[in-house]
Amino acid sequence: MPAFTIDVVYQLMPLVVLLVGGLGFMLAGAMTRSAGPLQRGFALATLFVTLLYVFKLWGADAGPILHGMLIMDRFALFFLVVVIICALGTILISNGYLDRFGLNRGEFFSMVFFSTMGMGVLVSAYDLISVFLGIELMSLAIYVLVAFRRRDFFSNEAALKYFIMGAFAIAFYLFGVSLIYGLCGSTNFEAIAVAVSERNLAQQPVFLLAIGLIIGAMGFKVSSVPFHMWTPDVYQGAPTPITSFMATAVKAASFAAFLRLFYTCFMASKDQWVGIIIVLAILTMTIGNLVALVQRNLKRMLAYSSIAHAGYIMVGLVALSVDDTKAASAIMYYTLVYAFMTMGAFAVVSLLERRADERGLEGGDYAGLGLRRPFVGLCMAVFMFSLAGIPPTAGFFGKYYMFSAAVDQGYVTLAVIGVLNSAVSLYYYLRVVVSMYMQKSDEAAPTYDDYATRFVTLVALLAVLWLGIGPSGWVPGVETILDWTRASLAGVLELSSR
Amino acid sequence: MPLAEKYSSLFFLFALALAVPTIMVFLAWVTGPRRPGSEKSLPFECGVDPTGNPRRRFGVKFFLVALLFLIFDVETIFIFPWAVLFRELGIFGFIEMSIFLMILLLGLFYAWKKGALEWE
Amino acid sequence: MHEAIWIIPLAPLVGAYINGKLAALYARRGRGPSEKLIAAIGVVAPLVSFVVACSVFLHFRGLEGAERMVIVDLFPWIVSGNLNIGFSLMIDSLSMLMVLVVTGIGTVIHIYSVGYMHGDRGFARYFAYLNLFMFSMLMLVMGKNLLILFVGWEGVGLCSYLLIGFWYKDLANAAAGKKAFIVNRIGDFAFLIGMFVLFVATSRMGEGTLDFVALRAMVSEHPQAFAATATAAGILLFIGACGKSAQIPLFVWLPDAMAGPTPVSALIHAATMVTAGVYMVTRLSFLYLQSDVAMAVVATVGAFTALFAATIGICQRDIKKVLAYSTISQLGYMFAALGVGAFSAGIFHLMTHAFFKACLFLGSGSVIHAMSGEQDMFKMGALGKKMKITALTFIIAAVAIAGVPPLAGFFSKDEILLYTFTSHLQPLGMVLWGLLFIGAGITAFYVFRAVFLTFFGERRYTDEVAHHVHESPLSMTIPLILLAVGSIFAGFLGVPGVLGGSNHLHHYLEPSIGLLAAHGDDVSHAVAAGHASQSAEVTLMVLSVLAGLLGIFVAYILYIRRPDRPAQLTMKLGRLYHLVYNKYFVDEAYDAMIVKPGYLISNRFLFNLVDVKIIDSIVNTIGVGTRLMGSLFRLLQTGVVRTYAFFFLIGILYVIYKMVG
Repeated sequence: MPAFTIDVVYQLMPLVVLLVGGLGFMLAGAMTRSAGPLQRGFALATLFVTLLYVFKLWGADAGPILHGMLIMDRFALFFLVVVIICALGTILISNGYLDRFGLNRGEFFSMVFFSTMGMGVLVSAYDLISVFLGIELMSLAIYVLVAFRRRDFFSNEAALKYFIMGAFAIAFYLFGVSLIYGLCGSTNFEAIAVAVSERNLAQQPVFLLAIGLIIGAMGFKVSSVPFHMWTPDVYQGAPTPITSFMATAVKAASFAAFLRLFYTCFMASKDQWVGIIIVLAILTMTIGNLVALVQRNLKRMLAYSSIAHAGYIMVGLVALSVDDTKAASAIMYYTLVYAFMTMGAFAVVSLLERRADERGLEGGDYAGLGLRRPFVGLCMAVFMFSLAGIPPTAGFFGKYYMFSAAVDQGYVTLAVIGVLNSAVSLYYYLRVVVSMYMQKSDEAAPTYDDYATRFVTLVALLAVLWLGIGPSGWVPGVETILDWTRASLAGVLELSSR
Repeated sequence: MPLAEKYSSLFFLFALALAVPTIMVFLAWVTGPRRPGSEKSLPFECGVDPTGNPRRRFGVKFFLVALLFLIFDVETIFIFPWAVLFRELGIFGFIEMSIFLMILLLGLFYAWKKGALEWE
Repeated sequence: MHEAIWIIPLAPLVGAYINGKLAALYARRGRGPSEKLIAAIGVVAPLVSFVVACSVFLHFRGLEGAERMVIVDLFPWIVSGNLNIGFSLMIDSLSMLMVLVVTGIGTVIHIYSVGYMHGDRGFARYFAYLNLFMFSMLMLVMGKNLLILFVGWEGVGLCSYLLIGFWYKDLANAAAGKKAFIVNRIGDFAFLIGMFVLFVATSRMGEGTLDFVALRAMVSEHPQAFAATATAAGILLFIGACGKSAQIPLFVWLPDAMAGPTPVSALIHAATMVTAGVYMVTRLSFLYLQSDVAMAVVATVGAFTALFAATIGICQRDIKKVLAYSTISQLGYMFAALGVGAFSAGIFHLMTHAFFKACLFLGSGSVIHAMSGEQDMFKMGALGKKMKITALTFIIAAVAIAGVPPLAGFFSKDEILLYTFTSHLQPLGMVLWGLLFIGAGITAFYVFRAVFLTFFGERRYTDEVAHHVHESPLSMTIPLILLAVGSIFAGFLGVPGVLGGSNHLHHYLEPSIGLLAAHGDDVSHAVAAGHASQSAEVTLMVLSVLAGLLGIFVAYILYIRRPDRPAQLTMKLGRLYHLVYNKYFVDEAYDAMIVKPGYLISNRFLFNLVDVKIIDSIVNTIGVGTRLMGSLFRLLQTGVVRTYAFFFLIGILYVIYKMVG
């Protein structure tokens, strides 16, 4: 059976376009001194072409390809769309940022593309090895991007820490994979699921050990406590557009792999691993929120906030169930919503960040922003409300679906802890709003203006409001998106029950 | 004794691997002349001074070359099995390998253009 | 074509949007487009609605009974769990009549406003609000379910608030607007709970719904099962109607609402918005019919309000206040009719009342306009000679409201009295009839008191004012004439059988009222409630006409023949006069019983003790404690990779231990 048919190539087109884009920008980086508007436009166009291919594939529901290495089903495509939206946002936010920080090189786009391609592999992975490939392709490019401010000490430190810890974590993953291979004789998801049920491996200690190791490694990628400690340092040191990219796309792609892996292979052992995920979710929410309370630097605050949000999403993992896809579709909805609100927040942060004196990130720099820059202030306020989960923003509905799924499955205490954590988070999110609207600044910190970044805030603003309460029309509303997630998950479940 | 039978070839390999160097070292020790000197007593380390401050900096050029070497080393690992199965894999294998090589070549081109191959 | 009924509410909405933009432009620049443009937009918008409504009406004419129904499902609106509410509009016989009244009289009053508001700084703002009101009111009467009705309900409340406080620079006006809004909130709260009750009840029966068509089918299917629901939901919804339609005990806002421009009083606070409660109860007639208790509550509150407000009307000096209390009283008549099951009689009175009361208000507006803003009737007099058209139309409307045949008010009021008298809820029906009968006499008295004080007798104003007195411009008199013509002829739609008519309106409304014909054994039985012999019917009719004539006669004696008598009477009655003149001190009583204690509890107990001392200190302690914990956890973040790896390792060991151990 030839692995490559035209159909397979067609299904791989999103990844191929990303690859070609990445290589092209690498060459552009080699040939040109700096990336002009033409290159940026080209980067956006390439992502749109990718998106186009994704849309064309939607609904085809193809089976596994490349000998079961990848699968381009709706689940993968949904997350691919999320990831590409994040990449688009990153490139738009970086428009003014790269110029201001003198980072304007073609390699930047090249690395964004390679990393996006890695995420593409990760979300469509149907084999433990392709998960590994996806993680590595994504992460290696991210390491480079984190260090993109080459002359900046913090940027270098962040990249090195991330790299060391990443290598450390992936070792545990590989150890887990080798154990599973030993037990099941395959690394393919389907084959693992079959082997688990046929050989009755679900309660086998070695199998559980492997799951534990994989939880640790995946926990690292989604920055779950106690595997989170790299997050604040790296998020703070990285260039802001990349921080946004990490907080949104990397997290979404990692959760996608997490979700598919657990949904297809490890559901039989749920009773064993659910206790751990509960503990991790509580720790992640609580520590993320508590430490965020005492942060002064906004990027660092958002880093802890992203840890806390990983905790909320893990509540959804706890509530996973084969009979009811509510929790899984809540996770998918949440990653989409979270991508928009976080991207918007980082876009605003990037407008205030200054290179000369390394400032513009403290709470005080936001004093009076709502009056000086009404639109930017309004957007930031809405993002903060959404992150805190206040209706009618999408953030509220994301949390609502998540926690109600948990309650449906009987995890009432966990949902209560989640809601209490949301209440705690109000404090530090609203502090930003308070200083924007109710404090006066003696020295007006200069803010930069960049139409592309402002466009991102506008789109994110509309999305955060529309995804919350928008009815479904020709712009997909909440119901449509939930329908999409249900359709995707039905595909995943059907495949795993074969 | 199925276990011993199953792994007998492995045991044989172990024994052989142990025996060959032992015999060679032993023969060298027996037959060779011994004239020790200060230079000759050093462990073999590619001509680099074996002692000194461990925090000494290496030229970054070494790393670059090592990285490039690693990449093309891995390339060989992929090319070799492909060459063995060239006929079975047919035209698809050829296209796949061409894409692989093309990507690596682009990388080489990038490295070259960026001056990674220039020693000075 | 007739699926295009969404144009009916849309046209005023577009008008409101454009005029709103123009008003904003005006506010920013201090100057704006000419009044002509604004007026054209403002008037054309309801006119378009009216024309479309007429075309639907013509379409209906060829159809029989239940076929007279147009439903347009625009889009699914709220979908959540088993709550499934579509954004759907509906026109059936009942809605059709309401739409025609609202758009027809609305258009006339828009035209009148062009003259009345001429030269006002807020000209564009005024028309924006007025158009927005039209939109909300049309949503209210065209909504296919209770929630859209409620959206319109709240929308008209908002517009009412905006228009009462239209001249917001005068604090009294702003306060009146606020009062109207807050008093309505109380009713709306009950309305909401009523909706919930209805939804829960239908959920228990199968599919939860607020859709009128589905509800009606459901109730028709199992009438008995809805008895308890009908009582609870019916009374709760009626409390909402009490707020909007100014019934006891929530009527106090309407007299104050006269602070708005007079055309607003005519359109919103007489002809349309305040009748929303009547419409709502009629719309849910199938539900109300299942509960005698709810019906009795509606009838009793209505009849008492009718008499109560009429007596207050006797002593008012302000011409608009007289009309305001008259409106409350007439709304009471409508509710009394609904309460005894005579839904079509109530709607009939709603329609005739819309004509003559709008005419009275616009006439009073014309007078106030001429008197340079003077509203005290005792400072008017003898205006009839100078303002012939205004006087004539005002008198026609007054005769109509007094119930003198053959003008509109006679037929509708007489029908109400008849049905109350023959109600199956005896002896309550007789008592209510008594109240309404006395009320009818008083109505004739106070309205002719206003006529005589304003247009006849001696001149009681200064020469300076006299200098300005003039007949109003055509844009104001033409609407007056149109409405006066309506006040004369609208009654002929419902001539009772005993006078040789066939009560067209009654038959026209039949398909919208009561249970579905297919299920109820005899619909008209439930609606008509009772039957009286022909002779009794004629007797009642003669009695009510006599009461009206007597009222007019007394007014004539007191204010034309013996103008010194009222003062003497006032002296003689002393306390009683004082009581009625001060509107039975209802406002003061509410202030002492509800507003002041409420304020005290809020301030002393809830704010100073509960909030400041208890809640704040608890919250502060939690806040400080949480921050402290955050600071502690922060110490773990050393910035050294070794520590990070260490915690990672501890984490993974814990995970492995839990998994395997």
